[in-house]
Amino acid sequence: MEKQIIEAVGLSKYYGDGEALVKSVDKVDLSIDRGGITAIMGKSGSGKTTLLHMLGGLEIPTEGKVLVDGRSLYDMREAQRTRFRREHIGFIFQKFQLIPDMTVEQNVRFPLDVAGKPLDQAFERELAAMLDLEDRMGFYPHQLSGGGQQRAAIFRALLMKPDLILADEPTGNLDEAAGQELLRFIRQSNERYGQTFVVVTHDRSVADMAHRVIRLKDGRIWQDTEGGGKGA
Amino acid sequence: MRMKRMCLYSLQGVIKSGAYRAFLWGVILSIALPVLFLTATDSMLYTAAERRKDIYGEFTDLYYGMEEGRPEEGDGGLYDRELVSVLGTETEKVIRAGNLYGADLALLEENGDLEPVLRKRQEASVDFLGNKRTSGLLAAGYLDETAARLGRIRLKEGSWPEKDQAAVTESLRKELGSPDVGEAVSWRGKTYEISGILADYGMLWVSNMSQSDSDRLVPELLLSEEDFWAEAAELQVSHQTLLEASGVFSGEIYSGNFRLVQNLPVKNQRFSVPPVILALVYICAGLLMAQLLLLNLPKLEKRMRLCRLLGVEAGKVPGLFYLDLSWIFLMAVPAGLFLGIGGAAFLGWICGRMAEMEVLFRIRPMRLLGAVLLSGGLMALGGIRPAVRLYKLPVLEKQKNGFMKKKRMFSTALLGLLLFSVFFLHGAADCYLKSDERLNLSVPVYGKLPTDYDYEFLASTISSDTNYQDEDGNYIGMSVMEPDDIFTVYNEPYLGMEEEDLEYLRTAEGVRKVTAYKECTQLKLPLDREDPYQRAIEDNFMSSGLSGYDEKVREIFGLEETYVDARLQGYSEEELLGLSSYVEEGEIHLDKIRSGEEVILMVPDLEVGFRPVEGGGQIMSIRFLEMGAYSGEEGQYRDTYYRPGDTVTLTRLYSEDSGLRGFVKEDTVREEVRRQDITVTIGAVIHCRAGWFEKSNSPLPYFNFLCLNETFDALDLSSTYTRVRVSGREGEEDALRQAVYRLSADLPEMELEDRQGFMEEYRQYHMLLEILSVLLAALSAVMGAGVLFGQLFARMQEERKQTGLYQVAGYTRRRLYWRLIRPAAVLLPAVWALAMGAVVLLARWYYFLEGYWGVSKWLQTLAAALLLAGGIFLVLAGRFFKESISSLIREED
Repeated sequence: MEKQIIEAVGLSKYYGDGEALVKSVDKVDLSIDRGGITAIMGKSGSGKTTLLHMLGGLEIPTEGKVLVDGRSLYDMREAQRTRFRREHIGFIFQKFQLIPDMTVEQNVRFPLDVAGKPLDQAFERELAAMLDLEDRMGFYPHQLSGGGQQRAAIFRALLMKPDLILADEPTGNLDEAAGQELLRFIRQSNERYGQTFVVVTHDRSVADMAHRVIRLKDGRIWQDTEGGGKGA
Repeated sequence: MRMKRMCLYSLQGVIKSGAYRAFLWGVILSIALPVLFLTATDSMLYTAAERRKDIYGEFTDLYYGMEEGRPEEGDGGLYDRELVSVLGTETEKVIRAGNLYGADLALLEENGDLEPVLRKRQEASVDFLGNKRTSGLLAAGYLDETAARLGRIRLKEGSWPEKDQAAVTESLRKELGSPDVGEAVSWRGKTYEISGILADYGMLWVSNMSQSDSDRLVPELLLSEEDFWAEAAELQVSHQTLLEASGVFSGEIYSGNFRLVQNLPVKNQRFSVPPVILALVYICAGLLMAQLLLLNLPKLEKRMRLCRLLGVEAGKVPGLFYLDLSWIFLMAVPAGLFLGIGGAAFLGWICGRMAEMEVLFRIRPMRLLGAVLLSGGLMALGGIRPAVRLYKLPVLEKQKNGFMKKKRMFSTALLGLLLFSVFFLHGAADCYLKSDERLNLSVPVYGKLPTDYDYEFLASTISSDTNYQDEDGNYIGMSVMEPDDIFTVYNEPYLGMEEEDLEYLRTAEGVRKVTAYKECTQLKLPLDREDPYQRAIEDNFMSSGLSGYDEKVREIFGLEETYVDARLQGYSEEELLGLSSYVEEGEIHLDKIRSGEEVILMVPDLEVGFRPVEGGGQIMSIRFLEMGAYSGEEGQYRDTYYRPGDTVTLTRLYSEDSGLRGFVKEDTVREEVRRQDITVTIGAVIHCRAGWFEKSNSPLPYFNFLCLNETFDALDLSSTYTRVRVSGREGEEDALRQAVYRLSADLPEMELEDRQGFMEEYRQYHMLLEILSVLLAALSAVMGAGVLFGQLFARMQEERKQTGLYQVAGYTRRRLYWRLIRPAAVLLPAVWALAMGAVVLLARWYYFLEGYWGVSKWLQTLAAALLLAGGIFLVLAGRFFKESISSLIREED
């Protein structure tokens, strides 16, 4: 197994052309080691989310390559990429992206059902206990608090046992206490299951928890440092 | 992908997510509306067909005759030899046959309880119901079960007679002093227990040829078979065989000497919804679904984008979408059927209550299944565009792109198309109903005029202008074609109906209104062989429509050799204007008609056919063509010689001495007989038979000039006929009939036409057409209003944030509201105008309803549409102006 789970080479995303050309991400070279928590930070418009989406196979880059587990995402056909994404990459979004007409249980199992993969019930129970959702499995998203919904989103991402989890502002819609709790779950999950987390955030506490912090400016990597979590 | 679980998720999504809520209602509506339309129209047309059978009987043909004694055993009344000759070898085509026998009791003695009734009837000029009888005042009879069913002869109470029992008609029962079931009635020394009371029946009055009452006795006292033949075996017995047959009888049979009557009203029925109307309903339903899907697309996209984010491949998204649609369809089917069938039942119930006429509810499962499947198919088709769009859906939501604008334009175009379809549906349905009314009701009441009659009689007093009785009691014919008759004088002892007779009618019981119209039948138009139509009359088909005068007469009065028979008919202003829809050339100018300056020329289009008869030779048949039926085919004739603005001179010979009739000397003719010429200008031309009082299909005379009653005075012309229309009060039909029949007995030369059955049918069918018209208008209104509201509401919701942001930028809410409703407000009248054009073309070229779709009718439709739209705009405004800017600009997830 390779040490690096993600390798991006010359990754760029441009919008518009001529004078209106916007370089959202500009020639970024990046490799992320397996098993760590990496925080991507930067000001609004610095290209963090675009970079994350390109790393996760959601946004086709203008130039460059992304290799996840050694497989080049954008050399795959769309259907192949979708299948690869659902097998290997989990997503956590700022707005949770839970399906409103499904219960928590149905939401977390939905990707497994789409992939036709069997459910690991013990793992599901374990995750539910860890995320404090045991008693809320039959709830619909609107019956949960913001923190509860985000925990359910993490639950859904973890249940597929992906090697890589990409989180886009996961604490953005949560109050401070809920945000802290969420970060605790991320760290706990990282430690327990060895999954790699890449988290796009404005939240400094995420940087404190992360093993590595990458700062973007004008679509380029401006700073790449160890995070507060490295020594933990 | 786990299909079972995906199906479950799909079902759950359809039920719980708001993405499909509006669409589900749309699909339910798209199933319910055609089902409602089909069930309601089926029920009403079925009711119309059944009511028609109630009036005319269920049989298609009636064979009848008078026989001596009982027919041979086993042949059931229709003699073997006759049956063979009537049916040929195709007896298997007779589906059912039943027999009704009658024996005229006037010829019998010892009539027991019936005797006072017989005496009373003999003394009275009319019977209890007002029926004038020419022979046989009362008949006893026997009928079998099939005849009862085919003739729709029903028991009001009790049971059919068995041995020593009798059933009496309700009218006979009243005359007997209202004996109840179980009491006795005696006849020819024998007493019978009354087993039942029959509803009076009139099905035997069906006719398509001249028949006398004596040919078809209507038994009022029904006995068991054994009792009847025991009493009547030696008497002259009439029998009627009621046949339900399919295509057995050929044309030759009807022209032969068989007393066989086609039940034309039942045979001619054409009760079905035309495919074009049904297709329009489906087009509207399909457009409605497509529109709703398009309007719901943002919600659908959001739902499917989530699935894409969670790992569903793009190729499977249309599958998921159609899985959702399948659930929607499955849920919509029972709801749509329930609403459609329930709605139709409710409608029938309401109509039944309002019209006091039971609407027979009828469901045709195969048609409904077809309707449901068709709606499903339309839904699947409507889903194609969204499915393609969803297939191309990117995983991440992009900035709003040009599609919003394109979608809005597409949605507005779709709205326009839908509104056009709805307007067109409304117009086409109205045209269909109008044309159906004309077609289906054209046999009994050809050329209908709007009236508010309850009950109608048609009567004309005819003059003895063609023969009279001389002093020795001999009838003398006065054909002008014979040279010996050159001194025979045409004269009218009665110049139409006397005013005092009309006054009698006006004051009679049960009469609401009496209108009388003048008519002169003795007019002649000089034959003009330049006119191909007149040439055809003389050369090809109907020389009896011509008159020729002897040379001497021509010399005395300076006449031409040959004339075409013509007549001048008076009308009221209202009725004359009612004929304007039949006018194909020129216009009706009442003032000019009143002053005698102008008249309307009505020369009906004709079709002449020939059919071979047994033993060689051919029989010619001539019939009128319906309006718009003339196509110029061989055998069809239309007079295009006379045009508006042409002047014609009509000639007549008459004498002011009403006693001057029959053979007179030449001197007397020179002194007493006058020639009168009237010259009139043709103001308008009608090419079909129009107006009331056409009681037969035999096309004489060909040339009819229509005018007002006052025109006769202006032209100084006497009438030779009076056509009388008597309208009765509701519920007083019996009294009215008695009054009219009594008058007809007092006026032996009065020709009375009792159109009770026709009027009944007209009333009932007209009512059903009115109901259908309301149904179709309501259907159009529901569809139009639903679509308009749905489109505007969806747009309003979709553009909430935009509305808020525009307000932040300084737009007023009122301006934004106008921006929202402007496309619909502009589209509505534009589409209305476009649809009006299309309907006018449809009415003119497809339904032949020239001049039917007038501006005023369409303005009413527009007014109704604007009213509905106004209501919708108000409801939307209530919601649009309610929300704060703050709530609008908050992005809803």
